[in-house]
Amino acid sequence: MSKTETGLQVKSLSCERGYRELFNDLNFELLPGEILHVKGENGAGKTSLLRILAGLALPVSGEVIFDGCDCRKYRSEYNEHIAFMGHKPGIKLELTPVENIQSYCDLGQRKTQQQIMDTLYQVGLYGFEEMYCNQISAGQKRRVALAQAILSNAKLWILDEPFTSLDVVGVDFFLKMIQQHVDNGGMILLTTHQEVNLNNYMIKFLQLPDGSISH
Amino acid sequence: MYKVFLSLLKRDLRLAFRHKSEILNPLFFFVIVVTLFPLGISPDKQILAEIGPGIIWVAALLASMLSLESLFRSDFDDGTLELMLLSEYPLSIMVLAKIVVHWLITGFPIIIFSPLLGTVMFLNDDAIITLMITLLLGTPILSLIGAIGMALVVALKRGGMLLSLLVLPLYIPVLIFSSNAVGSSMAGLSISGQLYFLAAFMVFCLTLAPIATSAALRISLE
Repeated sequence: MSKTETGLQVKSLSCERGYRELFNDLNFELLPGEILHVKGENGAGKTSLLRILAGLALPVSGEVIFDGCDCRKYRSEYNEHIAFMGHKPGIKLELTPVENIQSYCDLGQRKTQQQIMDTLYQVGLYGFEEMYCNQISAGQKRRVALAQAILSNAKLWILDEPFTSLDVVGVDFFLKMIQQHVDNGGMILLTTHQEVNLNNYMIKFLQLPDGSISH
Repeated sequence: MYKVFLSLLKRDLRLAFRHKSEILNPLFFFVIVVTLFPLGISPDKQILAEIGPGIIWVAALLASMLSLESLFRSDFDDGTLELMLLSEYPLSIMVLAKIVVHWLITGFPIIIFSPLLGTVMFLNDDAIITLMITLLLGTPILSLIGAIGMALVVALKRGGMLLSLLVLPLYIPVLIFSSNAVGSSMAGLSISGQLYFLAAFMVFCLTLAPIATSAALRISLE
């Protein structure tokens, strides 16, 4: 993979679900330090778009290019650079938060126990690290997933409805993490129906299904 | 790369030990099915020794198949399977780790208990040793082939019936060669042919099944 950091480019992407066209000829790009907020009604194809961009689903046509390389050809390199947070929590209920984060990190770059504990304190799970995840609340599970994204070192965060079941403090903290990530040259792609205050940042809006971009 | 393998192996074993039923259910099933036959048919030594190898193998096969759900279902439901697909490491390595765990919690206890059940079915010592060898070669095949089937049906809500339709025909050669080997060794015949076939089939599955399974998982999760 080349070293140029040109971010994420999407070229004439089309997607169908069950013979219904969700979007057609979608073009946009996301540069380091930018946030892209995908908007659209229920069923407009937001989750489908995010799954295509994460490489979990195939588009009908079109290309996804990351740092100048087609992400389907360089899947393993691309996967190093993305952190995906979908509708499903991505954590095991029978494991403790520490074990969950540990096994997530083992799928990518390894992290020391200390780094994991620090991140857990950071996301406000102090005192819960030894509890099984089926004993903690839905919002706390989201925080475990957030800790996984923070520790992944990925440049591009793909977040599908990340604020669901988080409390006000949790959302504020999440926004702070998003801002920090963007300040460090990261990229964020997110969908949310909640009103979030990210006014100070390079935020773009992508409206589905027509694919128009607004600032 | 082997660190990913070990890490996932450790995680899944830990999960299995927190869910003891995952280990005990297939084993109980296996033991109960086999011990019911002497009660249901006849306690006659001759009859039992004749049908014993087949019954033990059929029970082992069904026990392994019924526990296939545990292979990917919970990972699919909680989204950790998606995270595995998005790892920078090859999916087939992770899949292999999961298959090894499946074998350790279903196939391995069956092998340990098989001498006991062989005795219940009046198999002689030679036949019991052959039974253990065929199970050692055969149960990994069941886990490996089952993983492909499970990966194909994991996204379906009720894939149980389809899974058995997909997987059972592929289990048949293992069943035929294994029970035949045990029967032959009881009759004092050579069994090397059957064992060579089982060993070759296991190596074949071990090399190709993880790749097929990871391809099937990518299709299922789309």
